[in-house]
Amino acid sequence: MRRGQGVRRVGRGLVLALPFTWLILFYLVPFALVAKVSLSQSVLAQPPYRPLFDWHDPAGFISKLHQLTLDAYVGLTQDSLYLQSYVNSLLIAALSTLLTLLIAYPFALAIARSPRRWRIPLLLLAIAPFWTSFLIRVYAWILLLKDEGLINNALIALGILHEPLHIFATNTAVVIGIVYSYLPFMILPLYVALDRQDKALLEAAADLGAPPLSVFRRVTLPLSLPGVIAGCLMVFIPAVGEFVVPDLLGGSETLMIGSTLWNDFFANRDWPTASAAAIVLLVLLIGPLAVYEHHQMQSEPRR
Amino acid sequence: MGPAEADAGPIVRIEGLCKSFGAVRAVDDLSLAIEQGEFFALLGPSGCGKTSLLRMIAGFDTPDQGRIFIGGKDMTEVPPHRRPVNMMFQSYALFPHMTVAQNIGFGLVQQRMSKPDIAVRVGEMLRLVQLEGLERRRPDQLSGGQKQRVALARALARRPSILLLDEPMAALDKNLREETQMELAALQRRLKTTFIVVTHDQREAMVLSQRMAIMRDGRFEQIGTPADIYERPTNRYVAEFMGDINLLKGRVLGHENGTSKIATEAGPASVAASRDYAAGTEILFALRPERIRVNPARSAASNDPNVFAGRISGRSYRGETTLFEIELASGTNIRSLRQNDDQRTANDVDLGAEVSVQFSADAGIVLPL
Repeated sequence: MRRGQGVRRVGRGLVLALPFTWLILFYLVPFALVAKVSLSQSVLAQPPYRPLFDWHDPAGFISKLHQLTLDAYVGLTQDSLYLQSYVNSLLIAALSTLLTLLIAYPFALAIARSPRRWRIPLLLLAIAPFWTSFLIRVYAWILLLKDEGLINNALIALGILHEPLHIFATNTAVVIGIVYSYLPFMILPLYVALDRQDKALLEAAADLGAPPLSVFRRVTLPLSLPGVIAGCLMVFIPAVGEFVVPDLLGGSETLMIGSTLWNDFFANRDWPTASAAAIVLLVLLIGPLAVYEHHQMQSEPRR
Repeated sequence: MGPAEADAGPIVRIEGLCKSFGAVRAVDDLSLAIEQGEFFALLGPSGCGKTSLLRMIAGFDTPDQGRIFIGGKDMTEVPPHRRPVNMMFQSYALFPHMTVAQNIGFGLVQQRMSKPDIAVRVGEMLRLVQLEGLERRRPDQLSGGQKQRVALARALARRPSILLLDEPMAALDKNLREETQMELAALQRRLKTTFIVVTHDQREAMVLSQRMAIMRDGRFEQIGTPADIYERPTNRYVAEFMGDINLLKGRVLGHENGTSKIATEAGPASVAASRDYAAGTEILFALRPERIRVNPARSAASNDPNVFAGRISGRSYRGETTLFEIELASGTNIRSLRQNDDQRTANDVDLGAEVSVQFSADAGIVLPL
């Protein structure tokens, strides 16, 4: 009995240790490295910052601590490029998230309300594009959106347009690309939330005099809010830092933090500034997430 | 049909209702009239079609054939939100994101009742089900019994002309169930609203309802008052469904002086005349265990009708009652239930004792074979 409990405790410890080790190795350590670089001074060298730790002089670590500087963070505030990138990224991500939600909700609802044997095949269809390369799918959008692309050619051929729409290389194209790419991330949590809704609740609402639209507004929608929030986070957070879509579909007007970071790292070789920008982005994203988590904890049923 | 005529008729009238799910005929050509103010029970085992019938009255399912009239109006095709009917769900189906008060007021908001009026009606309903003070709780903060009351209050808040109850006690434990059944029956008498309850528990149906229908395979086996159905079942299925019963094979010998003579496999019996069966008809002779008395063997006069000799072959003491299993001289087994209204006699008949069983002429029920 006692022995069994001991074994169980060790077992539970092992089960917990695995994800924690994973998080420490692949999340916390890289994060600490980036944080350290963001506090270093930029130099023209290899690596392009002044290292804190030297294998040949381990003891020098303490004496070098005073070299840490907030210069990179100060730099962020002095160049309006960063502020613009952040604001632009947040706006594009927010708009994309909203559009994704509006498109994904009917999909998720239709799948959740279809006959049981159809649900999994329909979900697979929604995820099917993931089986081809993300890069190729975004490239495909270039062919669709550019001035002499499929969409413009078709619209002109049909006589609906006389001049091609300039969508490619604009923020609009970026939003389209993000909405397209992240749609499944929205559909899945929405589907889960809608699928587990008790159908008796919908009947109860109808029984109490609610026509279908009221049933949706007063029961279906509020009960799916956890799915809405989860889906929005799963789209919004990666969309803010999105690099590939703006790089391929965006134009000169497109200023997103992902591209700015890339430029700092690889073109300007200013690693401390790029790291600082990344840390600020992280803080910007973790803030709302922490608020949401706190809210979740509050609304959890107290038992 | 004018409104005056509509008022005079039954509150629910069902004509030739049929509903199939795939190859299964859930409801098979049912016709029924339920009067205003009745407490009506649909009783049957699971899968007998009672819930399908209830769901069609509520409007959740449409019948394949037949019509449903509510208050004299044809409501067969009317969607649930436009029927003057409310339902209390087996799972209660309380809205988890709303408080008790919001749940009860849900249907009133839908009626565009003003906020103060809603508050008044919700207060009224909370008093009715004795839940004052819980209006701000959420369903997950309520006990099973409280949830059930909220569901009841919510379904009654719109003052429906018919309240449908789908297995209303299924989720309650036994003690609470009996108490709640009495309360529900009293509530219905006070409100005079028509209640239609679906249940698989024959005791519950008897306690609650004034009239009931026994269902099997989508059809009604018998419709009547609880006493009618218990005392005068029309067939073996109903007799067995309503409670423990002894069934003896027999043949009608003849009728004389208001009694019918019957030769059963256990011996001769006489019952109050049942002229439905001509002399010579093979029948089942049914006896409820509580109508059979166990006597010490010596009191048995050998050839009296309605007295069979036997030996106690089983005895289960249940506190308020004792069930005896008696092996009759003919080899048939029969069960007798004795009320233990006297402590001394509760266990005075031993296993293996020679006894005779006796029943009165109105105890026997003649059923078709």
